[in-house]
Amino acid sequence: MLKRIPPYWILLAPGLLIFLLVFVLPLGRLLVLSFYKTDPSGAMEAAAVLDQYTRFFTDPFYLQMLWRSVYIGVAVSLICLVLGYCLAYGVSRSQSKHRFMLLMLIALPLLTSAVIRNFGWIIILGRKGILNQTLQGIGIIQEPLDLLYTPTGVIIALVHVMLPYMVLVLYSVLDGLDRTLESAAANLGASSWKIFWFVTLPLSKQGIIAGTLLVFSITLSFFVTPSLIGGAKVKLMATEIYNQTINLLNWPYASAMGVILLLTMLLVTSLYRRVLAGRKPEGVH
Amino acid sequence: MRRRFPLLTIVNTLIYLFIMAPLLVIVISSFNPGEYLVFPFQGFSLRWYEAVLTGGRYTEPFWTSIKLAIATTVVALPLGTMIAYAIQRFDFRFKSALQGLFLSPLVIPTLLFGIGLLIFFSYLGVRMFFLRLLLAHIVLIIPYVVRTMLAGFSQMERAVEEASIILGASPVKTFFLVTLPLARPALLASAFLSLVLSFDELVIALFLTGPGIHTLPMTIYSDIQFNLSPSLAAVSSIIIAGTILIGLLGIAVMRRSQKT
Repeated sequence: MLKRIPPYWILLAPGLLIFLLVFVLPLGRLLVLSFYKTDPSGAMEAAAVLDQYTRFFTDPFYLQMLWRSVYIGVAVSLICLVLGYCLAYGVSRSQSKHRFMLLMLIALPLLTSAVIRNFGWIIILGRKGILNQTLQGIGIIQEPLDLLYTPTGVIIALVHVMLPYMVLVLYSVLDGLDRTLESAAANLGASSWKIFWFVTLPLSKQGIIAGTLLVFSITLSFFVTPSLIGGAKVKLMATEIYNQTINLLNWPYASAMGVILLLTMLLVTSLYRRVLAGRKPEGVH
Repeated sequence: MRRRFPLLTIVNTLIYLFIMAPLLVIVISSFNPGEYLVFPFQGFSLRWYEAVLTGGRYTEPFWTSIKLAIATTVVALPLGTMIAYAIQRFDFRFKSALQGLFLSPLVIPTLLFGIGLLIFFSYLGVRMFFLRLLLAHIVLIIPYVVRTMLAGFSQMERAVEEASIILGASPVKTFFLVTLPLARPALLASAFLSLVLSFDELVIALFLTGPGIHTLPMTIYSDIQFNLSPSLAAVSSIIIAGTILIGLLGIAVMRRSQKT
């Protein structure tokens, strides 16, 4: 009996069953629920209406929240790109002996959970935190800076969480570059900066695109940092979706916000891809 | 020919400092004898480590997280390996669609998956909280296993398996006696990833947990919000040390198995 079923189905079946039950169905349910109606008492009702979406797009409060989320995602991606490029470039150019160690020095602290690393940032960024105490001690500032519970603080902590993704992507591209091209440019008399600007940077374009896209998409829906560092003062999509789900129990609205977040992610990344990479014919890299 | 960038060295040193800063601060805070996390410190003490290690509020969540991580690995590792093997070695209809499905939890935000599951489980009335967490973790971890095992299987010499079949071993026997031992580095990497990621997972736990079940990341998360104290720094320092130790161990094991 078992012999007649192709072997790959036996291999796939258990995983497929779990994925259908615990992944496809719940996300389908989420999508369906986003078209439900809710009445003022909070009860929800099955209906195929756009109530939740209309509510979102007609309320400046929520539109601003979406904009803030996108803006922070873009800022984090760009900062990560600059910092990550410096690190990846530095590591890929160091002698092979140190290279592994340098890479580990980056990877190991970043392996620690985001929750714990954000805890460290709270100790550093607070009004009576290390940064403010130090700056006041030296006399650079008189009043403590407000960093915790501000977008700036959220960006700093998010950059710390997202940096490894960027470094890993950029390092793999920079490490695979053909060095003879740089040597050729040097032999032809180009300065170090010129070589970097006209040879290395253009050659690593695919890594730059992949890295920023990865960081942006993770950042946009990242929950831990906005919730711990931003708190109730920096309202972002991810924290508000959680709030609507757990505290307000408005599941249809939370679902709709989730769908909007996902669509925004797809829209921004495809626009970016088109602007940066779209001028070449398909298939050419 | 070597070019030097002194500016880059300085910039990178600063970035390394940025990477280390939050961890250093936590470790230093954990030795603070005072009741509060304030600077500058008044001395050196191990009292918070003693408090954390001799019972207290972190012990039970720690074991819950360990159990969850192990249970997840025990299920996700074989399932993910089977999926990767089927994709790597067989041709069938919907292959790329199925591969996309099994990798898609990497792309779909965990937050959405969390709400979806919460809604779904409440709809079905599933109130076994450990089971809810376990099922969610399995789905989250399988993509990592599939990706790692796909890479592992693709690097293997197929001729060895064919030789085993020609010599009369059944496909099942070949899989267990030839294929799996050859894929050991990828299996170890998958198991390591699975344990670490599942031990760390917070968002799913926040959505799907219920009365009586607390994972370690959840407890730390809520203590950061409502109960900031040096014992939190101590438990975090222990986790930092543990993570780095396990990371180094993982690297050592992988380097050894790559050499042999």
